[in-house]
Amino acid sequence: MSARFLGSLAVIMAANSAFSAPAPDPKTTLLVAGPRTPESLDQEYPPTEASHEARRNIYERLLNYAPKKNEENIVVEDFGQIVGGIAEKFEVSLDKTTITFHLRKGVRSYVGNELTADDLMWTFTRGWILKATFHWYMSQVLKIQDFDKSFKKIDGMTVQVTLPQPSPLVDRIWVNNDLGILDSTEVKKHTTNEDPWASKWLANHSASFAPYQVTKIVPGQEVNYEANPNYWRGPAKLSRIIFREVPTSSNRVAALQTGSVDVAEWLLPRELNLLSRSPSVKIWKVFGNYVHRVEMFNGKPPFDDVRIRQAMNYLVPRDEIRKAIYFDTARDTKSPIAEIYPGFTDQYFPYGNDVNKAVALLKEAGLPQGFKTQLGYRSSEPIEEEIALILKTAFARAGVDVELQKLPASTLVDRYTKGEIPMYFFRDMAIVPDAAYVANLWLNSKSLINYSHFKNEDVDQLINLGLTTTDESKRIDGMRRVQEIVMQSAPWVFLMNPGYQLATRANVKGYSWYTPNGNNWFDFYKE
Amino acid sequence: MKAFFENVRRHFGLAAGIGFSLLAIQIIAIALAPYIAPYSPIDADPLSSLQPPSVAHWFGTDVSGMDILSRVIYATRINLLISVSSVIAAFIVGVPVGLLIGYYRNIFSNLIMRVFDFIQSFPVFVLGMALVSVLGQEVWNVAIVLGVLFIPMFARLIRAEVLSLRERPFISAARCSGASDLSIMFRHILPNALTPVIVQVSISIGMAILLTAGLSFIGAGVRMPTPEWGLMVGNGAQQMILGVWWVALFPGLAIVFSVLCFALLGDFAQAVTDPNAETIS
Repeated sequence: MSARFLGSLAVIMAANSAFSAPAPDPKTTLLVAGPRTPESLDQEYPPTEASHEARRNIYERLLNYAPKKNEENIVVEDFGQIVGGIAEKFEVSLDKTTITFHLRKGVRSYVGNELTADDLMWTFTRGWILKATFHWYMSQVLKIQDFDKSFKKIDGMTVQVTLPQPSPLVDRIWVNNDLGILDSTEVKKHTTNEDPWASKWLANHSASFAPYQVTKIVPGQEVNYEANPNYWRGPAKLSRIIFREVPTSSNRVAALQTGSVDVAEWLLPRELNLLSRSPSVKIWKVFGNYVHRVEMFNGKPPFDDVRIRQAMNYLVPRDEIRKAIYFDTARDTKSPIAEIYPGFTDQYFPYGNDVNKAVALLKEAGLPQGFKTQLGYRSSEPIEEEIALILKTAFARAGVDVELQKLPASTLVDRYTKGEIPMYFFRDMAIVPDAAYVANLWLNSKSLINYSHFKNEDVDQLINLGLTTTDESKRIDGMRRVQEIVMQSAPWVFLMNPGYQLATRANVKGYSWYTPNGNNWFDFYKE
Repeated sequence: MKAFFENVRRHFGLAAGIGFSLLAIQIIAIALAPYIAPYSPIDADPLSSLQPPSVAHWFGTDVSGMDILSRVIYATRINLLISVSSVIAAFIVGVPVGLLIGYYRNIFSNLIMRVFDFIQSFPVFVLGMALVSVLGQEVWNVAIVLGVLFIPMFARLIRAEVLSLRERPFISAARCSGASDLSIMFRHILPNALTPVIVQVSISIGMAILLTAGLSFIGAGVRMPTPEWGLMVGNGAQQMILGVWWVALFPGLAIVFSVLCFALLGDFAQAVTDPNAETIS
């Protein structure tokens, strides 16, 4: 009996025991294995990969991008065309300072409450007062400072939002996954004097006009989604989604192979490569918006010297990483902007694998012998460890001695937010498909998540221009210049765009991709 | 001395032979690692990732393309360095402490015993993980942690011996002849109490190897890319489902043989020092 068989048997038995609960109707029930359950269902909670997926399914938004099919026949978003969601119509003023939403009639939540302008106003007020996600989008992106001046109920089915200055994102922002509309009638039933916005209740419950409602959540174990029978597009084909937390990716592979689950999320490229040979499994692939990089702390030596940062970029064996780690399913990151977003250009990316150039730059920077540094990565991300080992060997070619720091995700975040670790892996995506928005998140010196402390006044000015001017050609030109400066400044070690891949049983159809990289179960069905 | 060697010869059987052979292999690996390891143990070679055993890579390669044979050889250094040094440290501290708390029975000796009770009441792994997380994941810190965990073991063992020896007539005779406490402890009691402790040293090294590997397996031991058997097994375990068995198997076998080696040597030491023991075979 081979070791492979024994190992597989053990994992399969464990997986089977985890998924032994009888499913009510296999045809309309989808069993999903993912690495973790959402930390909170409240959209005001800081977004994570797990919470993005939950939000995608239990919150309904005002606007959407029109669907289109990509070259692999997968439904994706057409970023150039915004269509109504639960706002049937919307009007944007010519100066892009005002947007008026006309709500769709007959939109009902899971419990049957009908959508009205009051739901919007209550959701907006809650978001503004809680000063979290909604407030950030409104104040930082749309520059709203005064709630009463900006949000106005016109009538029972119409709401108007007015900005203090023009914004090219005045409509696009409302597609955002974090800006769903609450069923205020239902949520208000769960407010208390201590918790007037029902934050505690919304952490574990949902109440929106979305295709699904969470009917059970056991953090760390399971989330059950039930289809909303009143959903305005019609009930979902899958009436029940059972999401189970299976932290180890190899266990998710085993569960999918044995048919214990229908969908296995967030598998490693090596595992996806293995599964792709199985006729009972389908791998869905999209070149999404993830940018995986190693951020260098630009605020302290040695990485305050642009030559050192450039040298690090010249030492990355990208071809080898792409082949060995990603099995050629990733693409090189050649810009801080995701390659699928308007405004992206890779023409300023100069970094080949050139040790001599790196050594020359280090010499020029006064470190001809190299230096010692640290590289942090998350203990929950085996792929980061694999890349870290390759980078350690690659950097050593120029005398850069890297000590690897495998840390729990929370510890790593804590250390890089405090600037306590010189290099760390960072994988993120900006969910608004706009170059200025992306640059503002990561490269504006005033951004709270510019953890690398990159600072360039020209970049700051161009980002501000990009967020305020409505002249699209000016915005595109500005963002091209930002990419040029950033590539020259090399604030990060640019690695890969890993894309998004999902493994399902072959009878699961309807996969679609949206910018938050969370699965939209409404689109799925079983044959 | 002649009698000792005669005793050794009498008890030297197949098991002891295997134990010494395995020890010799490990000593060779430690001393000659740079000369016998075919590749660097810490350099990644991504294009050689997860190669099965072959002529070029006898034990195959791991997920980063590192040669497993080279890492197994170099890991002998790390694993034995941690294990042997932690046991020696525990021996050096534990034996005098055990001697003192066995000889002097007062509030301090009771207090020290309660501290040992406290240390030993924790599951070894939990305490090891906690200490490593406080001290940091360095080779020497792992050795210190294991040393701390083993001190009570040696101290209790020697204390038990002292408690029985201190009432013996030859100790009373030494006391009557005016010998000081120190002299009684170190000249008369210690030599008679050491036998079980010496046997325990060998067994403890085996335990330390398992603990080191266990801590690394769960991510609380040494850091990547340090070649360490437990860490290698931990990384390889994730690949088992993909049919990649060699990454975990060979370091796993190294742990088995190393622990077996010290267990056999412990048995042999016990046989040699115990006049009533049968030859181990």
